[in-house]
Amino acid sequence: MKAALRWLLIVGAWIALSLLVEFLHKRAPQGALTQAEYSLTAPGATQAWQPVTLPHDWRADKTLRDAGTLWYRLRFEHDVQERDPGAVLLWYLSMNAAVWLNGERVGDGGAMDAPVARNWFRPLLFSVPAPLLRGGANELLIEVRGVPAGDGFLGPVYVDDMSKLLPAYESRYFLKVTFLQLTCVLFLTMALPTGILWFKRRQDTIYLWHAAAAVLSAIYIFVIVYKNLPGAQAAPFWEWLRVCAIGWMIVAIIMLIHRYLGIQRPKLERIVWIIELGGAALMLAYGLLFDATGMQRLVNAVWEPAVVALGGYPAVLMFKAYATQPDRPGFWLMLTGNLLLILGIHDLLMVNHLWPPYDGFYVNYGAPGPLIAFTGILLERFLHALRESETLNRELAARVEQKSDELRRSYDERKTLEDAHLLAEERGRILMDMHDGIGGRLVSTLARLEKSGQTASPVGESVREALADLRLIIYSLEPSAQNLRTALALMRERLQGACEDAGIAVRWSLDGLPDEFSLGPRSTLQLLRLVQEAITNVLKHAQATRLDLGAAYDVGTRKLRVEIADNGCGLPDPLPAGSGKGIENLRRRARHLDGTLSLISNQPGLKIILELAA
Amino acid sequence: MPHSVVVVEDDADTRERLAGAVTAVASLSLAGDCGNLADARAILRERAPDVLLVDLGLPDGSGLDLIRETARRAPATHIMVITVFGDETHVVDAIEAGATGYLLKDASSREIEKAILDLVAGGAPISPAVASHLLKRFKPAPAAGCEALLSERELDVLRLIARGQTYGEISQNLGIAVNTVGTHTKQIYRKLAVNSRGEAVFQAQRRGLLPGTPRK
Repeated sequence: MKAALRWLLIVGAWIALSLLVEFLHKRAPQGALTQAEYSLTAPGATQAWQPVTLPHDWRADKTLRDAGTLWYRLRFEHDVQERDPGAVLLWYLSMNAAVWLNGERVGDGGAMDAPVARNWFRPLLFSVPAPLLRGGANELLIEVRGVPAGDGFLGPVYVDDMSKLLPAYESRYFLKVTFLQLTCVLFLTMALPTGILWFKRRQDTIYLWHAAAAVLSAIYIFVIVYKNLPGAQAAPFWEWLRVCAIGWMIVAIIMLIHRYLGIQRPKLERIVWIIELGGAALMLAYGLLFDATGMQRLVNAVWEPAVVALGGYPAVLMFKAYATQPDRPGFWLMLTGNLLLILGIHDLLMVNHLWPPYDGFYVNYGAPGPLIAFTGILLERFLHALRESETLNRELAARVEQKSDELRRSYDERKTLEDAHLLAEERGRILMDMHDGIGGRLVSTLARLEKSGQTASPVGESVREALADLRLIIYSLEPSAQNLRTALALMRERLQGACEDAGIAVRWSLDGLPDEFSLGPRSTLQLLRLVQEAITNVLKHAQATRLDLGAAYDVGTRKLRVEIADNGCGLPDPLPAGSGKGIENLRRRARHLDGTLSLISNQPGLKIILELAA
Repeated sequence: MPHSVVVVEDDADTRERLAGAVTAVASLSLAGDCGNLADARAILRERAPDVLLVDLGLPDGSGLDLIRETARRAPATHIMVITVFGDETHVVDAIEAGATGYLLKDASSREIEKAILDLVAGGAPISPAVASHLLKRFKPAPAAGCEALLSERELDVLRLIARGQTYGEISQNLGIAVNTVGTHTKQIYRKLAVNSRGEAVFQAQRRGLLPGTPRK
């Protein structure tokens, strides 16, 4: 149903547009002078006048076959009351004319001798000096030149006020001249972008054929509309060029449609080319070598019908394409292309005397349609391709982005791994250096001091402290000691000997620490230092026999609690001056840990409690 | 007959101190002391001592090589690595090479004497760090061929050591004699040394401890 409606619409449009073209040509003003006489010879004594009704087509009269010039005489009455400037309007004629009123020459349409000015299908308007147009009887004499001989005509003639004839003249002039000139410019304009596109992208021949079709259309219209084509004997060859232009245009359209529909028929294309180029060459050779006028007849009678018939092929292609896939571009191509064909058939009938010649070629009026449609389609295709490439680009960019992200991630992962590995290696190296370097040196120094009996000296003490602190640093960095329980266990192992030597029984309860509980190297070191400091204080000052260390982490409150208790003498009260250094150190370390330190002096014994959020 | 001891330590003062500590003990005799690998090999070729104290960083090579050679050629020799800090890296490497104990370089004479005598008597000290390291290594289901490398009891001992308990406390906790604790630890050392020699699985598991690799 919908398809039928579409077809109805298309056929309706063809008829409507064809009728529109016809209608535009039939808008002649009222009051034409149609009764005339004609003569084959110039006005003189022995002149024989034949009555005729305008329009008069020479081709319809066999006796006028060789007539190059015809004289027309029109006698008419004129109303004298009118004072406006008068005018003579020839509605259409071929090829040129000169006009006399009451024996006075009022003008002509250009060169009357070869090359004759080509006024075919154009209106000619001449202004008449006021006194020349008399009240009562007047006589109008018109000399009409036909090119080629026997191929002339004269349409209706108007004699009236200029103000009445001018608008009609102008609208006819616009239809037959200005409009075609504009079309010519339009074609060249359309050819420019696609021509450039093809020049930059030779593989896209669709643009070439579009540009070619547009340029050939422009040539075709140019030959029709240009008034003063040069060459005294060239007229038949200009006609030859016109038909060649339309033929080659049809070939270009075939190529265009093949490429547009993705049809590959190189053989057919070759044959079409051979017909068009070969035929054109044959015609030209015939005209040059034998008979130019005969060639023109051949061109019109044989060559042009063949060319137009060829135009049926792209029409059928478009028809089939639209029938199988009724899309928007197909719709416009169908509509415009077949209108062109209808108008082309009109022209074919006209040049072969089967249709009145007066209104000239119609195909011009249909030619812009398909070319505009194709321009639109190519533009759409181009934009589509552009959009597609943009989308593709975006997708590509996204994919590249994704890939580089993946690469970056895997690189980062690798780097993290490598860093961790490097870090571990580096730590190992530093530990080794500390072990063999500073550590070894300190031990060696200690050995030497011992040998000379200075172990208990301040120097020995400070070497011992340095070694102890270095050891803590190493523990805090040990992979296993990241676990606080192991770190504290290590601490005990180190201090066990010294405590036993001092007669102190040590108890360590670390069961309150979760398996994987860690404070990180920095805080672990601070905590180990604090514990070491506290135990050293006990060893030095407390005179204790017991030392208990307990550490526990409360998962609920996220608090770590470390208690170090001894049963020694506790803190003296008040603290003697200078003896608070050890306590002060403990407090400092607790501050570093963001923890709170409490000292409970029990008498006996001292309990140190460290609490920190972890 | 006193137990013969060889000390290999490149720092003269430290070596002298260690040698002095050994000499001071009646049940020990210093069979030789030297500061480099070449001299150590010469001494050991002549006669395998009961105890070898060896530093890892020697001027002409690594003490680890000496430990490996000695463990292979003289299985009866007790090998102790001498270390400043008793840190994991050093001790674990030495244990893998075949050492069964470690000695801190700044240990007091009493500690040195005790450590050596404990070792000879069949015990072996394990630092909490090393114990924790070993536990971590054997925590994941051991790969095929590695299963039951350590007995449950040995793992118990390691766990308690890692928590900072002394051999005495462990013996009370587990209801075994202190000497038995020492036997366990020594057994752990031996198993590790045997297991580590040329064991790819071991290496793989060790690498499994590195961050970034998939962990089970």
